[in-house]
Amino acid sequence: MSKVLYRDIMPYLLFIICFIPTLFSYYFNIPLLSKLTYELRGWSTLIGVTAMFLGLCNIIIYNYRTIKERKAGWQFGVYTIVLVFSWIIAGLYFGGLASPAYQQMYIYIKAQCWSAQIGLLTFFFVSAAFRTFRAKNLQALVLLIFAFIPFIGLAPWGEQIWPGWPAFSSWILDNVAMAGSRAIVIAASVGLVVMITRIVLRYEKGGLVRG
Amino acid sequence: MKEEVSEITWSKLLELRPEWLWLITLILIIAPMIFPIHAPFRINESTLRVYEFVENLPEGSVVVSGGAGNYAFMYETSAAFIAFLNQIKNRDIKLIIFPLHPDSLMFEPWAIRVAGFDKVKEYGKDWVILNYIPGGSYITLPAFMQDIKGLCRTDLYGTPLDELPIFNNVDNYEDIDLWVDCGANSMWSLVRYVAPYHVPIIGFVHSAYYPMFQPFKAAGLVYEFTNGIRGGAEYEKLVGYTPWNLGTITMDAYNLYSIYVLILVILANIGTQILKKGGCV
Repeated sequence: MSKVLYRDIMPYLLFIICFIPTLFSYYFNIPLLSKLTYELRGWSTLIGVTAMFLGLCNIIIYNYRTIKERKAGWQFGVYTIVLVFSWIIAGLYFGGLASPAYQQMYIYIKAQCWSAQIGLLTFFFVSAAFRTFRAKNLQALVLLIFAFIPFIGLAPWGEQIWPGWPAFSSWILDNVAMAGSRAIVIAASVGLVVMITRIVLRYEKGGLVRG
Repeated sequence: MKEEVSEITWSKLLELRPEWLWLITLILIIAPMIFPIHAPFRINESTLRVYEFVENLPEGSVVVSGGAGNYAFMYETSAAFIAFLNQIKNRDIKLIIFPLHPDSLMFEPWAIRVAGFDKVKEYGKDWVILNYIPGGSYITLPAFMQDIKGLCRTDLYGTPLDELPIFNNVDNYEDIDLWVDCGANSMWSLVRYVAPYHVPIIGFVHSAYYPMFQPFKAAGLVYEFTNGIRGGAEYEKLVGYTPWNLGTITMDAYNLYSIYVLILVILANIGTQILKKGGCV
């Protein structure tokens, strides 16, 4: 009985306690519910902070074990741990996130690595376009044409060869593409409502019940 | 014999190593930075609407820059954001930066410095940067809209919000005149938690997200978007260019890059058709 209470009923009760006031305070202006929701949001922020700290501990423990057991790629574990502690020390020593020194470090190391990583897509797109954008059938040809209309529409030379190109490209994005996007957004939202309803009615237990 | 040679040539071209393609790409991207072409381009209606909306903001307006701006997409979104900062920096418009991503804590002050915003505006009086609050934007945004000082007790530098003059008349959504977002994917949260309060939203979004977010504009949840780096270049042109001109410089590279990709795709398709006729594909 205690197992059922602990694994099944308690998580569900907690979910309902948090869910009902949050949902109703969104649609109705009831001071008590608003106050309760406000408090719950504060708790959620605290949980978020705790989760971040747990994540940090997790990274350290995981990489420590990888190094200790000399698992494949343990060298990257050393690199990760050194970096984690370097950033923590730098943040504490230089006076926190707002300090110019920390910001410079962040911009010139982390940010540049991230930008470079995304920048690689520019190169991969070239080789991918060369290898895959081939009109082997009618569907591929249609895809090819519709991919290149906004691609050329964004380029200044597109409007030089035909002044109506940007407008045509915008029309494709604002109408044809929007119809597809709208369908996806609406379907995803309806799916979300269905999922929440299933959780509330206890048809869906995956997220709440362990084991 | 002649046909065979042609097929071998096309076959070799289609199997060209990607490293060669990448090398040409690199040259085409770097060359216009050294030798700018300054190719002319027109201003899209969306960018014009953004510019005019900001231009028509009354003096003393409060703008919140709340998004998940980050360095990964900085070339797509920052040009328009920097141009926006240039547009408002010489006017009496207050700016509150509310980061929705840890990276935004670094990204948005960087944009402020690049735009020279911090040189003409006084921190604490004209602009402020708040702390990143963990827990997810679906938690922080509703709380922010209802009670800014309740959610953020201090700014990024630890100063209590009550001690900052900018917050003398700013308490909640009623005091916000415009919300701007230079992030890639924070728009989903903004339409859920900011739009219901009827605060106008402008997004400086990534080109890939531009068509995806169009339904939000059509539904009246978002006022307008700028379209990636092209939108940034157009915005720069409207404000009379910015210190870095990120968008305008990139437009030259994009010009060459798009022509190059188009030529490659045309060549690949001609080659495929020739080889198909010869029975090689």
